[in-house]
Amino acid sequence: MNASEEKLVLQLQDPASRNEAFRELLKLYQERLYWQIRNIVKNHEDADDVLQNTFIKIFRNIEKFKGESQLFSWMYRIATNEAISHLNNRAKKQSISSEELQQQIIDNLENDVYFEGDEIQLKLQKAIAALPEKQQQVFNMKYFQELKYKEISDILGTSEGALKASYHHATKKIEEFLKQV
Amino acid sequence: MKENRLPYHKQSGFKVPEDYFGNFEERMMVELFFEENKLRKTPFKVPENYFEQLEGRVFEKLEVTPKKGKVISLFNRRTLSYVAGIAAVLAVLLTSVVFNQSQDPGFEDLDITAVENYLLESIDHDDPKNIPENYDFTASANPNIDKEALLEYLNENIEEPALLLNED
Repeated sequence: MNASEEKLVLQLQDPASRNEAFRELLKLYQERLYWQIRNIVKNHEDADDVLQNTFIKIFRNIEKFKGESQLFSWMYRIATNEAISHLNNRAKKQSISSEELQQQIIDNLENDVYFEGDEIQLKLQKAIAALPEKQQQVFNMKYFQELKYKEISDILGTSEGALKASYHHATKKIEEFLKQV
Repeated sequence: MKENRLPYHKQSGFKVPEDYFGNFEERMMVELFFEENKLRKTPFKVPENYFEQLEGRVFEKLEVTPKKGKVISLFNRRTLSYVAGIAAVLAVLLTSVVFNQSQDPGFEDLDITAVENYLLESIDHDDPKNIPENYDFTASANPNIDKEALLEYLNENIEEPALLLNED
């Protein structure tokens, strides 16, 4: 953890400075966490719900943060888990499988006012949705958010070597998918 | 075509990951494909001023949702089966206690005060049938009774008062 993160964590853990420090935290990380979540859940309304719940969890659990990992990695882990739980709950509520839900989400993208992708980008989203969950996460973090393997490794708790292999498999599958369609 | 290789001194100290050059071309082609198709840019957008308003909405939500522990539903399947099991055991225990009790409780089980109250409230004292068999009617056994008043009462109500009033 770097010095500025450490200072921010101390302020967050002190009731006297907590609110002000939390505002600072929101400013620093809201966009990055939003895009992490949005790439998983795809639609804006769901991303908004998950993002708010993520920040509430961060606020209420900051005292448990021991600084064993980067603050950034810890928050990303919460955001990722919240987004995946959100999708699992949706699938459960609708009594459908995760794959069926992914298909439903992609089908809805075409009419989503907050999706401005062209045909090839829609195909790319379809190709990502067809990947196994872990490959989807690695691809989204590496490709769209341009995170380093080290950062992804801290967030997902997977070795950098395994992440590189996952990313490589993912890009190959996506390329094949796009060439076929 | 002859491969154009720069001389590489193994003692330079620099290393590359295993098979780095082996799949470099393949990785580059994939990257080029994505670049050519301009896929890097995110196709998603957010409502106007979304991030500017987020802070207020998060704080609002923090205020209206009180901190709470993990909520465990009382009525999930596992809990329900435990509750049903405990209820069944209690029902069996209670039933056996009730039915194994003696049907004829002894006088030692009675509460004396409750019995006295019951008798005072329910017995008609004017009914001669309710007078105990071994009741002592002698005047000495009832020193508080005014003898003259009693004789007067008997004279008016009984034909042969001398038969009833035994003097010691």
